Amino acid sequence: MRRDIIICGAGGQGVVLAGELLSQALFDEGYEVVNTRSYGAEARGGRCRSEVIVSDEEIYDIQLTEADILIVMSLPAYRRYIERLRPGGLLLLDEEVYKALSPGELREDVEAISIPASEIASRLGNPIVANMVLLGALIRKTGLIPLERLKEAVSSRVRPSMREINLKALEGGYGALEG
Amino acid sequence: MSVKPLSYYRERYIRFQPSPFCPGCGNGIILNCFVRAVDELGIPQKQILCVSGIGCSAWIPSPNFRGDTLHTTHGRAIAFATGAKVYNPDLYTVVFTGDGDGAGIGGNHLIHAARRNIDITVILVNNLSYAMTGGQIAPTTLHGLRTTTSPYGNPEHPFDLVKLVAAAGATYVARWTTYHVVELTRSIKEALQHRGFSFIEVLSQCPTQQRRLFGFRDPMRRLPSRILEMFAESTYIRNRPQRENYLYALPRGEPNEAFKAIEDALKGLEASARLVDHITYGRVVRVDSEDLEAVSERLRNLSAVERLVDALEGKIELGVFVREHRPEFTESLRTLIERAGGM
Amino acid sequence: MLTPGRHLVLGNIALAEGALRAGCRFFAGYPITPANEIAHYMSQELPKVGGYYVQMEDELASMAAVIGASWAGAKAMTATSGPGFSLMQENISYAYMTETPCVVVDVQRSGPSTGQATMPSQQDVYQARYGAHGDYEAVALTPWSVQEMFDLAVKAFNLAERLRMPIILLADGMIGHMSEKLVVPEEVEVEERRRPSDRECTPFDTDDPSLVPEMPLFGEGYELLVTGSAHRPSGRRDYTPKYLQRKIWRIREKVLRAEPKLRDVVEYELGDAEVAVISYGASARPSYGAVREARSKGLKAGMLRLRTLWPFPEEVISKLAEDVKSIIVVEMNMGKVVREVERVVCGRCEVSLVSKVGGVLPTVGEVYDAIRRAVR
Repeated sequence: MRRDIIICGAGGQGVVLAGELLSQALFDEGYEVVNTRSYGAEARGGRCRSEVIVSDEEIYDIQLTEADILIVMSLPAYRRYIERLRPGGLLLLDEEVYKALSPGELREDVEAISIPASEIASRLGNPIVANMVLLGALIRKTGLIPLERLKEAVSSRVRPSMREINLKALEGGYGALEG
Repeated sequence: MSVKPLSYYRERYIRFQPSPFCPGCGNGIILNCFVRAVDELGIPQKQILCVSGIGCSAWIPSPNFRGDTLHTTHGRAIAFATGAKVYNPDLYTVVFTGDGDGAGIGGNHLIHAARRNIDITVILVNNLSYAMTGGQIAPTTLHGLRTTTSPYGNPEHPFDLVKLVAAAGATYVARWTTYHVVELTRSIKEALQHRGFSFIEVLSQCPTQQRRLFGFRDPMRRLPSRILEMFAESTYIRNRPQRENYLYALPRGEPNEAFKAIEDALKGLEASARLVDHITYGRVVRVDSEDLEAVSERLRNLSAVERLVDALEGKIELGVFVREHRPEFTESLRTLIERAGGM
Repeated sequence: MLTPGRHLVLGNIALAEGALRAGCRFFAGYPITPANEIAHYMSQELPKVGGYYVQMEDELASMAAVIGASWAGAKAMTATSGPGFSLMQENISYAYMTETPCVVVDVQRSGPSTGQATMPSQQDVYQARYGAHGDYEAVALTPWSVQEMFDLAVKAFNLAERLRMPIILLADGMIGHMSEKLVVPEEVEVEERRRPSDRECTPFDTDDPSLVPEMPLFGEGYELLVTGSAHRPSGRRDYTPKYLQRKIWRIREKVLRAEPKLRDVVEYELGDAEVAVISYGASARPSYGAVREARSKGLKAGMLRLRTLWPFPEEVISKLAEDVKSIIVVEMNMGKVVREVERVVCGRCEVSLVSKVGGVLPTVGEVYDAIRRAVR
């Protein structure tokens, strides 16, 4: 089993953190993981992506050309990275992005799921945790690891004052796909 | 200051004679003062680390001084010294550098070490040019001087190193010349004992290059003393009462001729005139008298006189300019270790 | 510091961990992408173990401070990238001449000049070997994984102590900025420099077959004469030709004599290979993938991966040239190691290059295609 995952968005949306937490959770579950990140020169606002390769076996090929799963948090990121998703791949996008797409812009040959991540995050009290909502949804959809694993990664990485909202966001995303 | 015979210092502190310096070089004087300072303080030789870069001054400690010496790359001595001192703070770390090595290529390291207030002593030998390589302009060369790379006169202006290093944060800053050996030796002692970044600029004679810089035509034998006399004439020590009963007449035309005319003009007054070298104004006539007003009257409108200049004008201030205490760098690093729980 | 066991770690951090475990207690550096994480981690961890992190005003000063600290007794290192590595060369030359043990990390980024700061390359291969002026032998190690960032960092410090010289750890921005598995061992073997056996010590020559002299330190009463000028065995400056001739011979010979032990290559399926892929560092990852794919399709391909890049493993490659039809070199530059291979192979087999610049790795596909072409 090998999955190539790209998380993308604007700088400041927690793309890199999401990639790191997902990687840690997958690693703790026992998988082989390679996580790389890249960003534009701007500290905030620029494009940002995090790549997570997860596999049962040692990973030698570390450069991700085609993704199996693409998680999108901003419209410019969608436009920049949508071609990287392989046909038949899984696209998870924030509903805000989905709504902003022009007619016909959404790729037809991928499985697209829109999650109201920003909305759930705002309801929880801070739009910054939209990234966690999307991760929660990802876990529900793919079943790669138990949500617990991701919660543990969040708890050990995120500072106490932000922990609860991040955990709630994970649950929110997970729950958004039920039924 | 105790005076032991030179042979005592030679045997104990110096290896490899004769020295590599040109006859009359100021470096020998500086080494002499350094060694006396070390001896008077009773610093164990094995605790002394001398670091130097590239240039004539770099040869003051290396290989002459019998302690640990680190002879490094051009301009970087202070950076090398930083590494050694941080890791072994028990070392009395002294950097010998020149005006080109320390304030030119090494300028950046100089100001950062001062900013850090790291406990090293920097003795910067200022002979006003890149002497070893043939006397090119340096960041300390006076404006207008002719050098091998300023045949039409130096278009640049020099640093005031005392102000520069003080502004950068040094906590002991002094300036002396190789004429002022007593003060220099005392200053080196103070610097060695000072806990923090100590900087001593030493204006030093370089007969080989300065004869061209200042246009001195004397035979080599005479040059060192002429230059030292110029240093004495062209400097004053701060916070000391200054004699004000003299002035300078800058000659128009040939100095010797002007001098004769001035002597003539002063006949009848209680005044004595002589030709001296002034580092800023060149060959000038110094007039000593209790009645400077009368002297000025006589000379002001003399055709042989370009203009009159006060006693202290255009002179270089010497002394100890900064003596402070601030947290020292290696101490701060040790504090970090405590904070991190590493001790 | 990390506890023994399995961790998900960033490459640069793994390197810094290795350095700390090897006994590094002094780091001097200047900020530069993509090496900064090493500096951050060292500034955090060194004080915990009684060590010192100093941020110097530029790379020249950083290398100088490392040398000064080494002579005061520290296992010392700096970390930089291409542009900073260029600035350090004069003082690296000083370290060769004075036989100062230390480690210089170059996390290669894409150049020339400012280039692509956040993207990797393998463009400094020759700078690592010839960047410093003068005649000397260089030792450079090339890790291909986060695990090797740790392992080869430890090795670099040990080699520095063993050979009394600067060791270049030639990493790249890909591995440096990637997180993957690091297994931290319980114990790490650590070597120390040869110390004087008595009061009389010759710091710059020796009769020992290793050709590595004993190293006294500042503050021990040896009245050391350390200089970058040509010098006698005592350290006293002397331009008489025989002294420099002996010095240059010895600093090269001490490495060449150690070469069989320094040689560090990983062979994969070379036994019956017709085509051999030679690579190192990040490029070796897709290369390895391509060789596996080739084998799965019945093609007789193998791989030689270099972990010690300099001294160049001439004997191994020379023998390989006898055994295979074709060698393909894969690297992220316009062809540097390939020139060394061509030199050693001397026409005995075909040599070709898969070259990638622009901050991206060669793909498995590109290397596989090259293998297929070579096999026909």
